[in-house]
Amino acid sequence: MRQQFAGTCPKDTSGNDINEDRFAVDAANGRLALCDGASESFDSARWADILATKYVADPAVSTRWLAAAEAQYAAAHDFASMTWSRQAAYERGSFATLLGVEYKVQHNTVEILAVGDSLAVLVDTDKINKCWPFDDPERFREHPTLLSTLPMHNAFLSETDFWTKRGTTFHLTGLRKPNLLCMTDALGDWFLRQAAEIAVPRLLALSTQEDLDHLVVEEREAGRMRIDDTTLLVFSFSTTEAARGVSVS
Amino acid sequence: MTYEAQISRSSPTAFLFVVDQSGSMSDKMASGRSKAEFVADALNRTLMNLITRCTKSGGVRDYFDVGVLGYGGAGVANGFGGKLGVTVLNPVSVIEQMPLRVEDRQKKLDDGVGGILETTVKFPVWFEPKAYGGTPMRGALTRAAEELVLWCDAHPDCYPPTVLHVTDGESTDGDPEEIATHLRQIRTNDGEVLILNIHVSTLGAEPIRFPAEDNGLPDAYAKMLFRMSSPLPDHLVRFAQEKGHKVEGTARGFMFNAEAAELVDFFDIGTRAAQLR
Repeated sequence: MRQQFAGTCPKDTSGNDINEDRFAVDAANGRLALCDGASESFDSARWADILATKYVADPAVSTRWLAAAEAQYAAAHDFASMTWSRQAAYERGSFATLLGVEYKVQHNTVEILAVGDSLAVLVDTDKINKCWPFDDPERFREHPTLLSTLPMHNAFLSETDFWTKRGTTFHLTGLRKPNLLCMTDALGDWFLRQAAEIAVPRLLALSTQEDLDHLVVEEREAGRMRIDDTTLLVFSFSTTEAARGVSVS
Repeated sequence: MTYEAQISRSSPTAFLFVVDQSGSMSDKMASGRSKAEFVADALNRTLMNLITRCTKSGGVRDYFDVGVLGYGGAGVANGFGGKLGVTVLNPVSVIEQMPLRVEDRQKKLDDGVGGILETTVKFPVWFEPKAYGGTPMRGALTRAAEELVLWCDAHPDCYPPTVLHVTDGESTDGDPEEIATHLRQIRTNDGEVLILNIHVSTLGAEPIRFPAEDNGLPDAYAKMLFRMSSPLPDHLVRFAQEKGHKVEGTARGFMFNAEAAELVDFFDIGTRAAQLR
């Protein structure tokens, strides 16, 4: 698995607002995580960073895993010294998506965990093979379930079908030229509304941060892309990797 | 498409609360508190929530300009005091810095093991209850229109301002409907000013929430307030539905005979402008 592209374009291109998307990659171990911090959150950039970094170090997401992340977040803030408004905002919590990816070399598969509406897309040459957690752009209009710094919002993690509902496996065996695209919601929404034969080559052709900025600004100005932090990660798999292995269902 | 402008520091929106402070607002509710006291608490809580929504670890972001106009026996006046009282609409970061005082209030919490835990929370106060004299509603809406014309001229591409009007009685200075019609014609490129009206009552009559037509309204006064209220944009309809209200797509931003306790909910729905960036 090789990183072909990683770029992120903030909601405010003048740089006045912090970009609350965060990602972490450990290509050697075949892991990556993309997290989109919610705008109406106290410190969602830090929360997204904690989740992405933690996933790459340990992808076994569980209630204990999340409790450790919550503790790390709490330790980074001094509640007692905050003003009343910061205390009130802190108590509302911070929220973020988690799109976790783990490449299983021995099975030639990519395991995906998606909490929230960051999107993973497996493409083969210029065709969409599979999307997760959904392939209907209307789903971006829903309120996504997000991971919170407040335990009371994370009860869904204890559900017995948590992994069944939020996890999937992309199979690479037999694909000619597989690429995995991971993107946050504004780009995901745009991508799923475009014709695949146009959108896939356009994203695969990006090679620099400037290329992504140009695409995002152009599509925003045309009213085709929502103004939000926008991140794209692209990973390729060699044809020998793709041809190898046994499909696992 | 209207009411879709995204809200950011460079593209804020405005909320203007217009509050009846006439003598009848001193009527007591079942809790023993007056309507004016309850409105003041609900408004202070809403201001706190608006500020909290804009507060990041790095500070308060000016996504909103907020103002309060009170009307009663003393006429129409800025509901904020001190330095905030100089202008009607103030950025939330300025409001955050200038409450009249910050009270310590007791709050009961579930301790997680079947008990109740009492804790102290900070409660900033910007707006004091007042109840005296007549109901110069027409004058208040005229002043609101003057303020919002200026705001819309200065923010032509922003999500349009929302007026949240609280009253418990009929206007004593003339027909307010004509002014409300003018007020609703003030606009940005993203849509007309939204007017949401809530009529609060202590009579215990059945509340009417977000009606889509005036057939079921009890009298001409209620029908007039209905006509003075804006149709709710789609995202506010969805938000009201998510809060458990039965709201049709053609509903208006209006509650009649509402219990004062519904104010917080009403304010919460009314201040859910389009997406914050």
